Amino acid sequence: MRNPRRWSGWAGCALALAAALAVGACSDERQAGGKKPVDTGGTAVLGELVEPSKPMPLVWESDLDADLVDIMYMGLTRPAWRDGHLVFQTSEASPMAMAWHYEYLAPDSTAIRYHMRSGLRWSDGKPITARDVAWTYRTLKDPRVASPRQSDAAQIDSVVAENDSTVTFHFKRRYPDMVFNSSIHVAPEHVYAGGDPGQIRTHPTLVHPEGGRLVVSGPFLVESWQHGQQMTLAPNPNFSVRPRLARIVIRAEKDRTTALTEMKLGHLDFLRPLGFDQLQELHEQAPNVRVARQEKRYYEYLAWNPLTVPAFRDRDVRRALGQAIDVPYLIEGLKMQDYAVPASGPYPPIFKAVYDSAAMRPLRFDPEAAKRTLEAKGWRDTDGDGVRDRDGKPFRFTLLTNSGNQRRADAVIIVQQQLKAVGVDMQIQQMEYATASSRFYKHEYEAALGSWGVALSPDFSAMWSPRQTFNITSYDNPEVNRLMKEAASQPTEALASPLWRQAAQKIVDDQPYTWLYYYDQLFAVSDRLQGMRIDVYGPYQNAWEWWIPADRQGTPGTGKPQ
Amino acid sequence: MIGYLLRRMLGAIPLLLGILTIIFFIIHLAPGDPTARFFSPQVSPEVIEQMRHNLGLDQPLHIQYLKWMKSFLTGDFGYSLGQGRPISEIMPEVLWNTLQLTLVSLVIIFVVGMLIGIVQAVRQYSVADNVLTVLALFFYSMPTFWFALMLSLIFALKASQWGWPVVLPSSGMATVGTEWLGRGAILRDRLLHLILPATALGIGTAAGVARYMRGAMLEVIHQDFIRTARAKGLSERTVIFKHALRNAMIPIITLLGLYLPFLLSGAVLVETIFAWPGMGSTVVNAIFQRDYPLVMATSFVIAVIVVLGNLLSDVLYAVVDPRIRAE
Amino acid sequence: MLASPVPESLPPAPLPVADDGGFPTDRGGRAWGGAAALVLSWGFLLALLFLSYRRIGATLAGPRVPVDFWVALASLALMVALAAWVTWRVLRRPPAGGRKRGDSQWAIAGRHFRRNRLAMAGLVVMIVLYALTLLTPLLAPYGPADMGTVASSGGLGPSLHHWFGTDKFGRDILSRVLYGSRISLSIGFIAVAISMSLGTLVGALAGYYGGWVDSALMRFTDMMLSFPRLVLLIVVIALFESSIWLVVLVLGLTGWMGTARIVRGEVLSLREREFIQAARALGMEDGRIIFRHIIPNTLAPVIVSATLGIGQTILTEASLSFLGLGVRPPTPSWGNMIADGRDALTQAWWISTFPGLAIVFTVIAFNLLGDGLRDALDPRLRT
Repeated sequence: MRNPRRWSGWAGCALALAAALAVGACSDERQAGGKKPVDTGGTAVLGELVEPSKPMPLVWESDLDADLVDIMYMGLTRPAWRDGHLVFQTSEASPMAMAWHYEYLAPDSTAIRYHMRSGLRWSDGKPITARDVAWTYRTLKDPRVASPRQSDAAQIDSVVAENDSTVTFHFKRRYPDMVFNSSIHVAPEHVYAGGDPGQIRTHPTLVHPEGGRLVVSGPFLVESWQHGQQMTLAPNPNFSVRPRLARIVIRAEKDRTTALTEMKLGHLDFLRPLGFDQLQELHEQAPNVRVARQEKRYYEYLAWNPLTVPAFRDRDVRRALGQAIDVPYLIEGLKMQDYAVPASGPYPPIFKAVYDSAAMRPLRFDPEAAKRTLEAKGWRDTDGDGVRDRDGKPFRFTLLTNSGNQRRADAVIIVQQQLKAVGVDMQIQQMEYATASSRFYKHEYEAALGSWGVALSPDFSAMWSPRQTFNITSYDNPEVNRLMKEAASQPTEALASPLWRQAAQKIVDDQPYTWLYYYDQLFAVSDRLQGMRIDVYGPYQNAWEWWIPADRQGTPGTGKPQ
Repeated sequence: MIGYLLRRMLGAIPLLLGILTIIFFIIHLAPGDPTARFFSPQVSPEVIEQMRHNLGLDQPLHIQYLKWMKSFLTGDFGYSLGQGRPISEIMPEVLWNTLQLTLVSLVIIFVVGMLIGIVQAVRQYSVADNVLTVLALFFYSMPTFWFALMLSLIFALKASQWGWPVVLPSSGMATVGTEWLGRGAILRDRLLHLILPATALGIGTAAGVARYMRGAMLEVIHQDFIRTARAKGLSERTVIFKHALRNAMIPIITLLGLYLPFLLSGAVLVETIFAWPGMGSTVVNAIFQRDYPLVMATSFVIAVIVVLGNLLSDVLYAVVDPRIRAE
Repeated sequence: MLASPVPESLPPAPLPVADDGGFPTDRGGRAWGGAAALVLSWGFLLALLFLSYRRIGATLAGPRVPVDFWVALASLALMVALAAWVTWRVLRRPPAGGRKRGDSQWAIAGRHFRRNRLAMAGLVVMIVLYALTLLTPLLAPYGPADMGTVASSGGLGPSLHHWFGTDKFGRDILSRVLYGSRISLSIGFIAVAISMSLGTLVGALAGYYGGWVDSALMRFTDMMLSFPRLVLLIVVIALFESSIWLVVLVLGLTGWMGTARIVRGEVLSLREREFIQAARALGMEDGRIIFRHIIPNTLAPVIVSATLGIGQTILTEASLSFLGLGVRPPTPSWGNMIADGRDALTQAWWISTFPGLAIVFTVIAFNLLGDGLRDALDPRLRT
């Protein structure tokens, strides 16, 4: 199945991957080591299945918005993912960082002081100062703004601009994520201050960001925007580094099949998301396209809701259902062999440093054991209809998942078949995303198939503490609650990690979910687009370093694939 | 005539208000919520609640309805929750995009449909007639979306694999980069992008028009004045295209307005498949995102178009048929 | 140059507006056609019995016999009985002559209909389709959800084992098309039954009572008509849980407007006819007049629009399933099968193509039948 020629770039990377380096790192190395010159100019065309909407640090809406914010705004430091850890780069290491230095006021202090570079300017020419930072955090905390990142400011007591280039953060307590929470992208005070904070989403610069009206600090600004079609980004002249590309066009693709066609025809330089079922077609028909992946930050799960199905209250029954599902077969059936591994718990492999999910054995496929457990619990097929029953009630439930996701639609069909083999009748219900997710959060479902993309901090208390919205199985284990509370109050990551690890183990023992697999996010990248760094921090993170060889800079739409 | 038109227009107002009221309550009573796309473990429930408050979704339904009605009557459609810009700005864009698509497919429908119908009528019971009848029935009975898929498979995807000289674009309205080229290149690019969706949208209806046209033509051809025209020694071309066609067109022309709702329905699927940023794909997205103001506005515009289409067909009928004007 | 193909000796009266076919037929041809049909149906039934007797035995011996299997067996028995009865009648009675046919409206229409070959073809295809639907559990080589192992039997092209190929899970497309016909055909049938009843009722009430009842009902009808049906359907189905019953109900509740208008028109003219006046003079209740005298006399156009409506409903249902708003997987319906195969069009064309063709042929059959019925039932169109 693998075509060695097309994958050669990959094979070279495999070793590096073992050392937990991402693909992008490899291509970067190649660039630095090889003597190939880097060209400037050219237009990269990126296909996305969602549309950009509000690329602004306080009110961004989608993952794509977040990626755009990441290349349009600077933060005090620039977080990056290296060796399974978040690191925070200062302006020494990244042009995207505003601070050249930061320090804790005392060894166990709850305050951090940042020293900002001089000469920073917004795209409209106004200077970027510490007051912008203070204003951004004040506004973030304002409940009327309802910012999706509001929780980042929850532990921040105050942000004080001491002078134009020095700003100090005072936190409520000492905890591991202090630098992370103070690295949010900074928004320009002079543009947004004074308006109604509740109406910031309809601010003129957000409704019409084009023509550089949206004031940014990062390498790119919005040059034009045809709604429903494409957004064009152009270099911000006031950014310290000149991007190599002349333009980036983000095309709103409505349909994954036509999008793949565009990719194959060479009309696109980049496409996400790429479905696992589309890989083979891409390999066979588009030799000029390579597949890049964002490492396993996501896991797919089956959630058993004990509130609606009494049988799910029994840990052993949940475990038996998990044993009935052949995850390796599922992975093969969904054609994701090279991009997914069976999952064992709430920490995907990117958290190797905290919790080695590979060391924890995933639940083994063992239908006989599953049958034995179910028999022992009184579930027998007494009326010969192929479905187990107890006290006259058949073991039957409905699994809810969202429509519009081919992988999940395929997965539920295989799961249904496998549960049927052990005498459990699972019905399938698909609802579109908005309805399905609100059902999950209101616990109005029986079983659910979904997936989580984890936050980059090991703190998972939002998902496993009682009465949290995202605790969709109403999981409540006093021991786990205690461990999570203790872990969250540790001053450093090194002290917190063992506690998180213990909590995770307890959760795995209870099997509130059946964890299916950890999987990569896939992207298609054309062979002319160079220098992309893709890791858990998203594919856009170094867009100013992307480049296209001079001889291939013609508009992609007009050329035919060779 | 003008009095009649005014009466019809006034009569349409309660009708439109009724439609909007029904849609309003259906979408608001249904499960789901415009803030659902913000749900993620990183966003706290309080933030979601605040968003709902900012959008006025925490008020009782009848208050929301009165508020919406009030701003609607003052001509303010509000902001789209999904796109975050005024609907008065979105609507002309998507409407114009859909109009381009529908107008081109209307041309296809009438030119292709009428030509086929004429050929069939003139050569009634010939091999050509039977073949065309079967073909028309085939296209008429074909699901639009399936035909659209097959078109994009053959003319966009396979065409490039097989190395055809022309590969038709199957997605969007413009090729990247054309905006820097000349006006002529932009127009040509747009027309290329229109071919597949307009064909997919129009072909079934064209088959329907062909059926009507054949019937209407047959009826006219056997009338006395055609025999007279022939007897006068007029060429067959003049007889068919000047005398017969003009009379046979009366019932066909009136179809023009009636096909509009049909085309708009079809546009939902075709625009989704070909990623054409028009009314159809907008309304589907708005429904899925629970973008209440946008759903209301698109429903309103669609209903207005349909009402106008009905009116148009009445007016056309009066224009082409003098007997009706006299009444 | 267009030559004149029209002979000079045509009758002066206008020809039917929408005749399809109208090829000359001769009685001998009909007799042969009938014989061939009989032989074919016996052949089919016997072949089916021969091929499926093992499966019947195995299933009956099994612990639990599914309901649809009983239905299939009963249908099979019924079909055999029907074929036997027809054969017996044909053999007993000489092909020509016989007793004189009655001249009721329906008898005349029947004669006209039988003369229309294309319409008869549509009728035959329709009967065969419903027969296949009923017999599916006996006919389908595999279950609709039976998967092989994904690696070895997924995505196979058409072959002797799988006539229509398999999909990515290794499910047999032929079986799924057969099982899918149940969904499409029954949804079409039930939804149209709902919309025809509703439309007839609304039209009859509006036409019979007139006045404010008429204007209120017709305003409402106009309102429903002013909305593209597909958009309305998407709104309702996307907003609530999609299930087969919701789809049927919503399709039924949004398809009655055309019928209501036709029926109203008919009733308006019927209302002034003598027999209705007489019934009124006799002091009959309104309900009785409407149901006993008005509605039966409006049936002809209703039947025509119902037949054409089934075709349209099947198309609409397929569109909804295609958008993911129809029947829940893994239950196959033609629409969701096309959607399933869409991503693999270039590699596995068979997944989308066969259900698509099934839709096309079914809808063609209903359209032919509807056109034929219209020609036969509408006296104005008769030659």
